[in-house]
Amino acid sequence: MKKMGIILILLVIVVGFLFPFFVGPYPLHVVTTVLTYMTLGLSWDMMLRTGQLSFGTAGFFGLGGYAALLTTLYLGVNPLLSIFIGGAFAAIVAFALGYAILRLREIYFAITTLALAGVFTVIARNLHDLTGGPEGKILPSAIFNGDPTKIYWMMFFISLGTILVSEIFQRTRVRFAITAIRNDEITARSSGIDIFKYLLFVFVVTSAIQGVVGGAYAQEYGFISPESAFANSFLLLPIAMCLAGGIYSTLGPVIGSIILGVLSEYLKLLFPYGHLIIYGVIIVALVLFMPHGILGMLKKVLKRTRVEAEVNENAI
Amino acid sequence: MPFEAPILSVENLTKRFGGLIAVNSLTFEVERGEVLGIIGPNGAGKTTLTNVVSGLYTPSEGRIFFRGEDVTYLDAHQRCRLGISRTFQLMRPIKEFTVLENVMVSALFGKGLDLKSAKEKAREVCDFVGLKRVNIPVESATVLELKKMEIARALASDPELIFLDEVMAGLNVDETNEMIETVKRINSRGVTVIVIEHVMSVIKELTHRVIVLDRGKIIAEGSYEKVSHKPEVISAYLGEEE
Ligand SMILES: Nc1ncnc2c1ncn2[C@@H]1O[C@H](COP(=O)(O)OP(=O)(O)OP(=O)(O)O)[C@@H](O)[C@H]1O
Ligand SMILES: [Mg+2]
Repeated sequence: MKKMGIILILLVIVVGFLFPFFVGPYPLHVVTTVLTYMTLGLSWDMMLRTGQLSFGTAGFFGLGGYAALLTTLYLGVNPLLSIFIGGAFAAIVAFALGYAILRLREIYFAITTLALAGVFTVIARNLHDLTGGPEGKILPSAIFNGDPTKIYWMMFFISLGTILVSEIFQRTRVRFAITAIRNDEITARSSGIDIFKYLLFVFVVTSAIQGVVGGAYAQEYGFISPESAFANSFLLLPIAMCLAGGIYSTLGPVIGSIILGVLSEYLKLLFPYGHLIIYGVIIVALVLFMPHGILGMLKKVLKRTRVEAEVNENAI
Repeated sequence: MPFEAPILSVENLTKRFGGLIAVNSLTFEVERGEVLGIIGPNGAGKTTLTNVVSGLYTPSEGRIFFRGEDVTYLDAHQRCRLGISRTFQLMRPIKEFTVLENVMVSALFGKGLDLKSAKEKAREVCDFVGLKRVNIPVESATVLELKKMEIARALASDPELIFLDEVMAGLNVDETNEMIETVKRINSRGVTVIVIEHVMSVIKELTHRVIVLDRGKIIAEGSYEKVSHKPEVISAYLGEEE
């Protein structure tokens, strides 16, 4: 069983890696976009696993984008390396802000993260000399000279890394800490868990991921502006994908982003005008009728068959 | 003989909720190895005292010393690691976890073990308190099992001092007797125990010494025999029951 799992994972990695050789540039671009949202969704979900609802996803995504693009522009940093600078910058900002805002809970935390993302946008728009203001900045060339295959590989490996981090969260003491914190902070504290330390840790790690993805995205287009870097879609789509696929897991956001990501492209082709409306309706329907996401529904069905099997066994 | 600080010592401990004084300038000590009973009518401040000493509430006034060390402003997780444990009168299991995982949490973080040793430790304490079904989700556990799980969780961090806040409430005679035996075995492991209980026979059976609280104040202190005959204690209880 375990062996099968490992073989399956290796298969997915190999197929994912060889994917560009099977498809044309358009599907490849769609999948690259899906992977971008997948990493954002996973990072949002990882924070949610601590019980904290963050609306800062697009904010740290944009910070990473600016840090990456501007270091390449002004300091001539290698674009690939600059992506990690984007992650580091987002992490440092998250660390500093986390000290102040991780005492907040629930809606207060959510609103504050949203407000901070708004502040980042205003700063980016007004630091004209550095960021180019509302018009933004353009690099002479996109990363890998815009080669879609290499860009896909870049996102592919960032996604693999994010999935790995998510699984580390799920399989180590981190899972015990953050699940306990999410369920009952009083029990968690009384059992020796340093809540603030874990919240800060998860906030910094997930912001770093968002910064890396933002850096990669900015380098993919060789361009950054406040509107593109801090766009609402980088906050809302990942959340919708997680809710659709199922929260508090690695598989949920992965499934959700693939299904909703591909679906949105398909709808765009079918209905060039109004696809967003249909998309919105589908998201609302998924959330209403599958409160535990697609993954939750699958688990329920599987559990029922298992229980039935057990009952049958007992009858014998 | 070298001077040994009492395991717990509180000085002028006060906890207010707005105008209400739940714990009112308490001063007492707990000797290492003893079983201390805390009794008192509903609302006397027993649970609040537990919350303040275990670090969930910061006191409004006063100081708390654990093994002679000032812990007044340490958070609950730090006090847990130092060796102060407690159960919850209103049980607070982690509902997403199995019974064993609930116990593992304090072995992982209170005692600082790795996953594998924490699992072993959790199995050991579950066994110690007589929990047999450990791999079930908490929602399918019985009340007795949940109470045992609370105690097991409190023990898994290897505490030196443990508060048991009404762990026998709601149990039948056989179950209560089993719990009494468990508490005695906890104490004989070298753990100092503070039992909060309404059932007098339990207090009589278990404790070396009793503190009686009423409206946040100590109204009597001493052996069960001595305390139970004091008129103010009798009237505090009579005043409540009738
Ligand atoms: N968090 C709180 N906020 C406000 N008042 C509180 C709080 N906790 C306790 N109190 C009040 O403090 C007083 C003492 O309550 P506490 O729970 O400590 O009593 P107790 O001795 O444990 O009672 P019981 O035997 O019913 O468990 C009560 O009047 C209670 O209403
Ligand atoms: Mg109480």
